[in-house]
Amino acid sequence: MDADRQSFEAYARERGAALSRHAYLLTGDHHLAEDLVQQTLLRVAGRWRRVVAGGDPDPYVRRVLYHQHVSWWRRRTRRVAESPLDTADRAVPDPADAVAVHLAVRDALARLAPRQRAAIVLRYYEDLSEAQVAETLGCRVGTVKSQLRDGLARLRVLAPELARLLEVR
Amino acid sequence: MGDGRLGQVLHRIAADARPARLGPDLWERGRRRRRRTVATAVVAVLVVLGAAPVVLPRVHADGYAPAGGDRPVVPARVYPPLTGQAGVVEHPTGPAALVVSGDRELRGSDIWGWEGRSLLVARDGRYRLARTVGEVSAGVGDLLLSPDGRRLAAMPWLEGVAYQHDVAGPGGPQGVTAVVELGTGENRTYPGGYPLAWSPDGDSLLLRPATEDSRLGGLNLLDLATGRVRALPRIDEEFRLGNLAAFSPDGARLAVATVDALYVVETAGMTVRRIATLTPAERLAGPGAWSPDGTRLAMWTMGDCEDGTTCDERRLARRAIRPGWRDATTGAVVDGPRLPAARGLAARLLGWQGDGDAVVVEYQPEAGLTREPDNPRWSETDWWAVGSVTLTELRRDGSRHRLVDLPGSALFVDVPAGLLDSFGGPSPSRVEGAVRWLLALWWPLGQFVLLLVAAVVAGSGLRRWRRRTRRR
Repeated sequence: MDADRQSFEAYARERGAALSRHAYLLTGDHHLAEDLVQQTLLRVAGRWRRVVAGGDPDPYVRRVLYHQHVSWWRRRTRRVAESPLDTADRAVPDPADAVAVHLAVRDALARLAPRQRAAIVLRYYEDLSEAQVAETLGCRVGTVKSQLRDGLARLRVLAPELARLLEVR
Repeated sequence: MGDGRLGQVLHRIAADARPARLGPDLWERGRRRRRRTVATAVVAVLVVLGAAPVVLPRVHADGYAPAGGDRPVVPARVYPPLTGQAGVVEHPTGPAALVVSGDRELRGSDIWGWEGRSLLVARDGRYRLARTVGEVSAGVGDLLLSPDGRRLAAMPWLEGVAYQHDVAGPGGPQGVTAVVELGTGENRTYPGGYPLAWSPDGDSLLLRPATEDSRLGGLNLLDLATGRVRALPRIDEEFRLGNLAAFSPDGARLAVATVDALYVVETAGMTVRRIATLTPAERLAGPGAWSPDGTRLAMWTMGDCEDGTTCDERRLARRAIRPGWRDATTGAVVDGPRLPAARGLAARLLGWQGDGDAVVVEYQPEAGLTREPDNPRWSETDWWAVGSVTLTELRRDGSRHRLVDLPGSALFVDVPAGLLDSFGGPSPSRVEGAVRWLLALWWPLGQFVLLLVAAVVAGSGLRRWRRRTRRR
């Protein structure tokens, strides 16, 4: 049991920061991100022995993190505003302005449905294949494709000024 | 700009993240939470099982196909009744297939209001309770099902019976019998004694008047159509209640066994003949003792514990109870179909199946029971002496076969004489059986434990719901 504990704590130390980055991308909020990481690791601790017995813990932990996030969203019945951002009074960002792009993407991401956001983060931040994304989210590859397509389309609607940035496959 | 560009932006956003603060007790909390989750799941399963009875009786009521024609109706398996199961008088179900009484969850508990329940299983599989207060010996005397299972003869203090005070006979109060119509719940009480045996046509009931000593005194025959009670010729000797009397198949004669002798009473002519002297080990086999052709009487010979010495539980449990035959006219020992021996404290032959096999109730002794020599109160079929019961088919090929799986706490059982070829009928599902068994576990404490568990689960569910509500 002590060995399990030590290995879990070592994992949490090593991967805590990376998990926090995932969580921040998913929630867009530092406090929620921290909460999400903690809840994820609590759940993982409960079955740590089985998790490590299966090899690399990362895929399992990632799955827990994403499902926990979606589950939160469902419980809170938080709705994403359907209307596009009012861009009339906003300056079109200069693509060269990295900070502006950064902020625009962050704001737009926060307005996506959680599964779309999760698919985009896994695909473009984690650089996972569509099959790996499907495995993590527990859905079919076709569903992932449509989530990515719809998510990107929605990003374009929410932030038309990012169209060039979002010219992705 | 391609997906690489979006990825770069996402990495820049992610770089803003603050590393989550992780407490040193993360491992303990995680393990604790896991244990709680597992425990909650186990408890939830228990609660679902515990709550099922609320739903199951309704499902159950419609779930069985009514018995018809040759369909077996005596259930292959009987489970304990539920607390609050409907009563047989207030909620009649039609003809019964079996009645069983016993201890613990079968007997009930004063905690729940009744301590003297017996379980009736209707032909359609529904369970009903015959509730009273005190120990009930179904089949031996307290509760008797008529041959067609449509009537229940009972002691008059059964719940739902309008008990009329005893009408004193010539020798003082004799006792009262209640007869309940199981199809309607209608009931009526008759003075003249307590129920002892149904006539084969179900029109008459043999009553045993109460006596102040252990002697028989006399027997009465109740005509249910008229309510008239006729006193049969007096046989004033000591007797054994479980093996006292048997109607001949045509109902015209009645075999009566006292401790010392065997009598045959002509019920029409009201004459009685002593046909044999019995040894201390001999018993009339039971209410089905007459051979189907009416020429012989089946008798038991107890294989042990009849020599006047002290006999402990182990010997009582192992003693063989061998069947034999006597001529119904001369009383002479005669040959007859050979059957394997019964075993235990006592046995009652309920009757014969169409192929000549015998349906027998075998009683095993209560734990620690000892038969002391010359104990005037000794009775082999007394509620306090019997520790368990089985309903067995003794086959002419020498084999034995258990006919019904009864609850472990069953002590007495009776089956209508007309259903002795109808064993193997439907029983409650395994799930319902498991629920009934679970509720009967550690009776009656188990029910409190289940209630407690349900309360804990409800409380923790409420707390979680409140937490979530606050979080929103």
